[in-house]
Amino acid sequence: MRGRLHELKWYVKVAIHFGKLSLQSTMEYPLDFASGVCVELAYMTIKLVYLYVVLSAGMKVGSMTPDMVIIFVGTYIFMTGIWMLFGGVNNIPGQVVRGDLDLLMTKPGSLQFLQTFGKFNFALAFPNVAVGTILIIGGWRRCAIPVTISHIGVFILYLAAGIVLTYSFGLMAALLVFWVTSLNAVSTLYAALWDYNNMPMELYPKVIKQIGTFLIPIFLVTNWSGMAVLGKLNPVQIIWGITVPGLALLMARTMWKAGIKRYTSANG
Amino acid sequence: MEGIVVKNLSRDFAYYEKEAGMKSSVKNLFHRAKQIRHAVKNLSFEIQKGEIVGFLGPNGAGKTTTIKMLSGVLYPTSGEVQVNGYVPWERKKEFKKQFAYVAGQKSQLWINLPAVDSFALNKSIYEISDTQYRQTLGELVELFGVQEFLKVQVRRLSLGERMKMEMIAALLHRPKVILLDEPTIGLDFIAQNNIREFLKDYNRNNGATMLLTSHYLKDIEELCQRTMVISHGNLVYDGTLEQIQDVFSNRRILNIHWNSPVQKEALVSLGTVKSWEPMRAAIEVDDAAVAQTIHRLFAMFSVGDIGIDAAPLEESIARLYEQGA
Repeated sequence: MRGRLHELKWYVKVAIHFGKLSLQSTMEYPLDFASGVCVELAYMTIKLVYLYVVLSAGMKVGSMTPDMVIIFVGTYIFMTGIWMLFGGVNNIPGQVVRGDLDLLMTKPGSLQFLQTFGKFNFALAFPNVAVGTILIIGGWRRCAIPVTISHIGVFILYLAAGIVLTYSFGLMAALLVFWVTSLNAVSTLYAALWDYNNMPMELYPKVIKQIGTFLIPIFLVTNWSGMAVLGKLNPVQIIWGITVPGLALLMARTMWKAGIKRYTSANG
Repeated sequence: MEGIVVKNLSRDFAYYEKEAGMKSSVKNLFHRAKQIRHAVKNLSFEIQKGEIVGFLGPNGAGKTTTIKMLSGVLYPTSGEVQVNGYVPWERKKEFKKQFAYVAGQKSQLWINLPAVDSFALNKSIYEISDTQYRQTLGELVELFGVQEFLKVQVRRLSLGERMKMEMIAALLHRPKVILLDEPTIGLDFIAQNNIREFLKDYNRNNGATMLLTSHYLKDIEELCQRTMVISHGNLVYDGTLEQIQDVFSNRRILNIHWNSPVQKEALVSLGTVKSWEPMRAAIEVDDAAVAQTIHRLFAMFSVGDIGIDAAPLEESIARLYEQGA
């Protein structure tokens, strides 16, 4: 027990250190940071145009009022920021192809941890997380959702589940490099799947909803937290939303172990 | 057991070949003939604790692949390895805290930050106490003379300065085993010398076991009591560098100074003319023919002075490389 606690403290300490160094690196080149923020703001404007159309037209998306849609779009933008934040995950394909995992492999601790939490991209994450949070809070207020511990707790629970899914899905997509080497098609496909979340899943036909929930559970990333506070999750969805992140993390871990065995350090 | 034990170590890599042109590209879409490259073949050796061993071999001989297996970066196709009693590719935390892998062409430093930030990260990763960190860093910085560069962004350092910082980062946790893959590659001779001196000091003070690959013979000559030569994945020699010259070269170089000018053409019948100027020449001859050639030289020309040298070490090693082919 004591050993586990010590190990946990080590992981937290090293992760914070990685975070600090990533931030310090970013601050060395403020113009790079600013340009990264600008690029993300430009992408975000496109996403916000959809929201503007919904709000100005007073359009309902399924059973969702325009105010509710704000929460979903906010969560989607927030989670896009989290996806961008995991620079270590997104760098995997290039590092594997170049054989850049070598020195990291010789460091104490889990290689998966050292790689995936080794670099954070604050420039791309910051605008998304900030605007996403503002939209969530704004949508929450407009929907008059009570600010209670249980409401906030359940929202954060499914938001955390979404973060775990973002990490796991991103990792699994990146790990395909061990089998296919060039990931251009996979990355494009993953980005396209991700963008299915830029509106609440209620927008889609039933068959798409089923696929996005059970087969490729991408909808769980951004829909469940909003649906939970709006009381729109049925018991199966409640359990499914808790179970899938655990399963996805397990699958990503298994895939990591299998992939690393195929690592050839740019020799093969 | 402390030290390194390698038994029947092999590593294969799979690859595909493609002929030039579109036709073969189309053909490859449907069928690719898998080829196997045997990077390391049945390698066995032992390195005692505290020994510095040089690993020589031409490009593609399997040196780096072997070092990567010893450091746990690559899994072997077959064979056994123990480094200080640990199997490297099991990647146990206790093992990782005991060794360091330094590769001249790989970096662990954060390029946009001063090296001291990367050192602090390694302090956290290796759980080095404040006192030990201060003491070790102080020693290493002094040995390398890099105090003034500690606060400079890594990207702004010269290659030599950067390599010294890489070395410090790798040794902060005072490893007992150090695997060095071309640590002096691309460095000028002063920086190469600094690194060599440093490694000697580190070995003397810490009794660390070291395995070093390098293309610079000087690295091996100055650092290693023992040299292993690998060629095409096979170990073709294990002994001292001097012995390589004795055993694998049956050629001698005669360095002659003339009392009066001699034409180059007049020398070709005596052996291979390695260098020529009107008043002096170097002729390579077979070991067994040395006495006879000297006799003929004195008979044919007015010789002022003559010296006999072994053939250059590089040539002996090149012969060894050919043996492994």
